[in-house]
Amino acid sequence: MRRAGLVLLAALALAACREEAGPKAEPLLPDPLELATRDCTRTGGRMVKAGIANAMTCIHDTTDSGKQCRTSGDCEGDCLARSGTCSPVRPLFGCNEILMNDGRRATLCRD
Amino acid sequence: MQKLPLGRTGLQVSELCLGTMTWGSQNTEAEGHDQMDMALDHGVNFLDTAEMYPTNPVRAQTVGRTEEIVGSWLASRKRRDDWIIATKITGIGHDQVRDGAPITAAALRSCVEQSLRRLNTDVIDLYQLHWPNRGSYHFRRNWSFDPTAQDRAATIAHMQDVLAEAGKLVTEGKIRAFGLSNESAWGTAQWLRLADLNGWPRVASVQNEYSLLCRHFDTDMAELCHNEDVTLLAFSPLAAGLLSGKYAGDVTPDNTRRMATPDLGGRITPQVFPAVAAYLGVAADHGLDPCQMALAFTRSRAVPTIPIIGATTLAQLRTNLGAAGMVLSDEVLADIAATRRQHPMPF
Repeated sequence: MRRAGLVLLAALALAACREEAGPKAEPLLPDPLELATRDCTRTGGRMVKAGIANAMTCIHDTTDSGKQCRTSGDCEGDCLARSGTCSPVRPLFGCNEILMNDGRRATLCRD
Repeated sequence: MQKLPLGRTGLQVSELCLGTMTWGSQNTEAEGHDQMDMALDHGVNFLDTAEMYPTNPVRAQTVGRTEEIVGSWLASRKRRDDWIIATKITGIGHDQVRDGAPITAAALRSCVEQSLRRLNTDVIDLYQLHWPNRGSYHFRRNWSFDPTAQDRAATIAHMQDVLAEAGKLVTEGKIRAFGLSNESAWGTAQWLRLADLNGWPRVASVQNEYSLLCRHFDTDMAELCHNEDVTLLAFSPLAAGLLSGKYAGDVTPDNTRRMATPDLGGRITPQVFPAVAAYLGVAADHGLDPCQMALAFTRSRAVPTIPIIGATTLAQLRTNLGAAGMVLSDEVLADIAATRRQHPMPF
């Protein structure tokens, strides 16, 4: 009886050792959204739902928002046509009238 | 003119906000433009308008006219970047505006587009809901307020729809920030909770009535705005002109707002003139202009508060602009506190 108890104890100890020394559970693949969020916030952006797909997307507030512009080349984002001012965020989703790099007016739709 | 952060938006706005609601009714387009010029010269960069302005009264044929006046200034001066522009979508039940329709996600988008056209711009810096669909205790409705007809599930679903659409409008560059008006602590907390949970635009500001004579904000709303970094935009900081003293003795001078709205939106009560007289007395005792004292009082509050200054003449506007940077002494604040105890809720 005593011998059987020792065997059981030894078996349990072995099992415990095997558990400790055994291969660790395979790490989960990094969550793409988590990675994208990390990259986004590292560059000063924020994740928002955007576009027709309503997918999480990184947008950045521009530092020249509201400044006068003649072409989109004057802006971090786009040059908005009606007011001739730089857009508040980049990229700009939806449809907006913008002044392109050559100064021509165009409707830009980004989904 | 000090600049203050507007909520957590990153926008820096002047400590006084220019009101516009008389442009197109009591004031002409040229007078509105003169007010914008003068305010800008004094360092103001923040103005507030609305879909339904001008008032009073609101008329179907003049809806949006005030925004057009702001828009014609922007088109002629080409100085869009000098202003942080706030406007609002009208709430439910005003027959003169969109037949009294409620605020919905679709209405939000349509009204933003219309306001952008009238304002001659591409971006609204702060887009506010003028009053909530579910009703409100503001505008003297506190005396008979009954929230028991409200449907929580419907309200939350509505908030989710509107916030999701507001989020899209931000990503499209059409609005920069989201704000409320005539809201309660419960309502504001729900908007904030849903925004934080879903990554939708946070409430940047609440535009509620606040003045020496109207202190609803000072308890639950003050606590909420402090903890959530929501800026109070104080409308009617002179209590529709009462605190200037021009109506003292229950008179109605020519060319004043009281000609069109004799009870000043429920603010004329038996208690109000004694309260006005007491505050005029405090100003006189300390050698202060009563309007400047009233505006400086709103700025003295611990929770960030920006008064919206309205004027029908440049002389009035100049006086109001003089409140910028004014710091009330401890003695003045003590007298104001004592006066409030004597006249706690004049309307």
